[in-house]
Amino acid sequence: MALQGVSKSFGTGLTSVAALRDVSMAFPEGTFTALMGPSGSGKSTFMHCAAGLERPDAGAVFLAGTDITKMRESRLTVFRRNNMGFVFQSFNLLSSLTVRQNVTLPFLLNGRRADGKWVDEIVERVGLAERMDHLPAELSGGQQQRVSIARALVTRPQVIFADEPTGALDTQTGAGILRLLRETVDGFGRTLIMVTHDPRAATYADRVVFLVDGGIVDEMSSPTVERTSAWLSRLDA
Amino acid sequence: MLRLGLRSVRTRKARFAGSLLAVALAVTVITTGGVLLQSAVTGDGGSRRFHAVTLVVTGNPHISVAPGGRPIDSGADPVGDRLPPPRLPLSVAHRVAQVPGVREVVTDVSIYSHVVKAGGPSSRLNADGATRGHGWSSSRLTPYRLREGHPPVKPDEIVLDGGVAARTGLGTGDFADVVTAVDGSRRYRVAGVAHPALPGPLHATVFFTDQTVARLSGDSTGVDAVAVFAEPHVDIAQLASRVRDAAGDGTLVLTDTSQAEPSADSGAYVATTAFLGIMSAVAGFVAIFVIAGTFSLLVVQRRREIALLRAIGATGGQVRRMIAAEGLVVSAIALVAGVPAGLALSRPLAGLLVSLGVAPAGFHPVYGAIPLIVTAAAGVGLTQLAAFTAGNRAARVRPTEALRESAAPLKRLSRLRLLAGAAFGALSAFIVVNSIATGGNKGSGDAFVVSFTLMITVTLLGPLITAQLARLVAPLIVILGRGQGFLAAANAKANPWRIASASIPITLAVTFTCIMIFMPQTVQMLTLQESLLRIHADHVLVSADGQGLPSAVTRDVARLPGVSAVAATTPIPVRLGMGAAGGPVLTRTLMALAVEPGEVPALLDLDVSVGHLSTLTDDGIAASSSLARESRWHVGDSLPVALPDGTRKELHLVATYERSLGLSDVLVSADLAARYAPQALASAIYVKDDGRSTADSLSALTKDHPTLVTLSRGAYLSQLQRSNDSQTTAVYLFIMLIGLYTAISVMNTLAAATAARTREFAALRLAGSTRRQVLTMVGGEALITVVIGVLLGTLIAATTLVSSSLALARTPAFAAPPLIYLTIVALAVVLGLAATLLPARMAVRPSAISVIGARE
Repeated sequence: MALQGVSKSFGTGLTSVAALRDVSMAFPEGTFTALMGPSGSGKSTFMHCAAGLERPDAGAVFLAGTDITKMRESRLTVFRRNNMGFVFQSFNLLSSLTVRQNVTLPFLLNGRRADGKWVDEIVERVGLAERMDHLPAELSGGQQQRVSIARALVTRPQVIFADEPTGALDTQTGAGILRLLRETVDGFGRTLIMVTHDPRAATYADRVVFLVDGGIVDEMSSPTVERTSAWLSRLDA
Repeated sequence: MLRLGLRSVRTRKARFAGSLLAVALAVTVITTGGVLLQSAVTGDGGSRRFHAVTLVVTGNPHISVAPGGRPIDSGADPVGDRLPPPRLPLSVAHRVAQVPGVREVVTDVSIYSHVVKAGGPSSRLNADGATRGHGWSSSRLTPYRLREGHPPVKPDEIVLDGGVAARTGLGTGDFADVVTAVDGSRRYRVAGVAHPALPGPLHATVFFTDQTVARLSGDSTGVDAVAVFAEPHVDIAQLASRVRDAAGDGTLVLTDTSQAEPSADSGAYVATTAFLGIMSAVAGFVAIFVIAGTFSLLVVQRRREIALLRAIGATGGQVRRMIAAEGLVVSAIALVAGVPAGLALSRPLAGLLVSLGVAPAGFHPVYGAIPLIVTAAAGVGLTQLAAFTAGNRAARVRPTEALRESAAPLKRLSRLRLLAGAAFGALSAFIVVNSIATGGNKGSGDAFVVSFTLMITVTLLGPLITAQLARLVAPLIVILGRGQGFLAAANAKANPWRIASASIPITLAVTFTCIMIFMPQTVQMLTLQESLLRIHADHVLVSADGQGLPSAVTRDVARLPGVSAVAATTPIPVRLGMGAAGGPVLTRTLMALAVEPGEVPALLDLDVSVGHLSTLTDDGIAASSSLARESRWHVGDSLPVALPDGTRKELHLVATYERSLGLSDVLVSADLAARYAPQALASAIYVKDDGRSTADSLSALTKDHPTLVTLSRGAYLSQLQRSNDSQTTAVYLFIMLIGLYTAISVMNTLAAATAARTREFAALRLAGSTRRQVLTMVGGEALITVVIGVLLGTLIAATTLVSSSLALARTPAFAAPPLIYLTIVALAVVLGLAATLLPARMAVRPSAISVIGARE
């Protein structure tokens, strides 16, 4: 996955705000990247553009050799469905569907039959085998997030996007989720891009990319809590 | 997607309960309306008087008005809007009698006759429908069987049917006064009493001798129908075709003898059909809005879920199909629940219509397949239409909304919706201008359509309009208290969609209630105003049975000392050619009033705008200005006319006049009526004194004329003011039913909208609001919603009523009694507040932290 010279601004005329300015970045296969930055730095816009949820004003986004910015809306939706997975902070399950139905939702949308063995394997790996027929309301927050990770994995996507996946969870539960996300990279070989503002979460990533005012300002490999915290506090000063 | 929709409906019963209720109610209303409408359309079994007969030959009422013009398509005449069949010459009967297979022909004569006990008080009379007089040989057509006495033999002998005998208290040997068009009142002796040999409704009947009835018909060379008894084992279709050949042009041969004359109830069935038609149309229109409203609310409430689906790869089409599938599930359940309810409701409602006097006594629900098919199609169709529009909006939800912390309300109307709204706005303006320009009854009827188009406009542009109105109304809400008032106002301004979808049903309810109640009152008021200006007579004479007065009354009044002017107005049906010469002739059947042109100016001021009424000779015609304008007639034009006896004539337009309300759009001369419609009766006789009071001598005339009612000018006008329309009560009742339906829908919409805000209320309480403060804020918003709804509804209703009045009487005035209007407004306010505050109370009952902590 790679972004090339991506720019995006919101609003028009005088009130126009540039959210991304000519950003380029590559995400090698099987890596885990954390995006960090203060509020309004453009990290969410970065992720939305990378995931094809928003169309950049300029630049290109490549996934598996295809420029997704050139795709028509409906083709892009299907492409996204099959090649990308999403994990959001909260509210990311359909409350009327059971765990199994939530996990297999992408197949339903594809009009295909779910691969039963593969679903069972994923559910086993995320630790929800016992909870398949429960409704989301009957699960804890951590369990709900495991369901969305299982759903993100089920189509064997190339890239998984995670937007503050631990934002609504306590530290201990969050750590479990982050280990699971790490496992999707190490065990399943996926590319993971995660937006976070939690230095502890960032330590699970292979590298951290810092954004400020819509541009990439720094990059850090093998991040630790101390180094990322120090970096972030420098910004505040 | 159907599975997803089914699943979604099943697990979210509470949320779908609202739309389910709305659709089920709509289905119930449509089912009931459909069943009753079909029952009214098919309920009239026709006349059973020719039951014993094989074929009936009558005059052909479908007369072309243009001399030598094309015959008129019989289907072109709407129900109840046709000439009565013209009479047949006796020679037809002679020719038909010679046809092989015909065993016997009986000539039938039918005349107006009113029977009272000789010397009996005239106050016993009431408008209990017409009694028809026939010759005794017609008694075999049904047949009637003599129960006592003997057939009429002498010219002054009659036989009564059992119903008339019982009602009038007459028996064999008694003397009766019978009022007829030709004779006026005349004394007869009851020779016997006969009963029909079959059950079911029949006209009240009196039998004369055949010679007497021929004289009383005014033309003994003609008959009203020729009844044919066939030889046994004759093929009826072949016989009919032979009879048709023998009878010749200008005749109709009916194998279905029930269609030979209108049944006793036919007028009532036409009125019932019209009444139910209007009510069903309004109910259906309301249903469209209610269903569309609940579905759009359903989508608004689920934006987050839809956005999530979009984010994980659902296409817009898939979201649309999911909503459509939900709609299908909802409409299927609604049909299962609503159809039986509608069927069950139709029986008591039919009974109610009968007891209110709107429908005839025999009216009962007929359960056919057509209403059910229509209901199923409408239930599924309307729901799918609603789901389609809601689904389009859902498909536009952007996936990134799933990622935001708080769902952003929709900001803009789609371009298509703006364009459609503008188009309907322009259409409304055009209809208003056009209906006023057209004027008359047609213009006034056209104006009614404006209420529908304006309603669609308001719905399409709803959020835009409510946002503006909220800005206006909101400052008033601050009186509730600074904090809550401010919050309520801010919420209202920030959420025009929510306010719009909640206020539209209120607008709808207010508009329809106002129009349905005020429109008839306005027509009545304008009629009274015009009558006040028009009538210069000192006395107005009318008939007690509502059928009219014979010309003998006019003659006798004219002889009274002290009477300076007398003019009778005699309605006769005429068919008028409305189109331009040469082309296919459009026709319309109207009741023309025959008047004595010389007498009219002293008694009726018609406000003649062009020409002179004095030139209204028997080849002249006068028309109201609005009819002339609508038909593009000018004074001097020659108009093709067909008269009740089948005569075609060219009449010259001699004058146009303004004051037609409560009178007629067309006037012809009394001479013309006397020649071509000898059976016609005067609807009113206007009398002017020469200074001396004639009230006593007029009252004395009632001794000779039992059906005569004499009224002073004031008494006549106040009788006009009193509503004697039996439909008024029914209209109120049905408005209450439709109002109830709308009320449930308003409740439904508002309750759903409020319940969806549980989290918001909890957040407010965590921020330090008391439950009471939250409720005050919600109440404030509800008040804004209701005020906007009432304001819009009033505006639409007023626009409609003003245009209608302008079209009808060139005055913007309309009748809207403040008490009734304020009651409507008060009901809307109570309804709106209750529907919002009750669910809001439920929503703030649990502790705030448990609501915030709870997951979706």
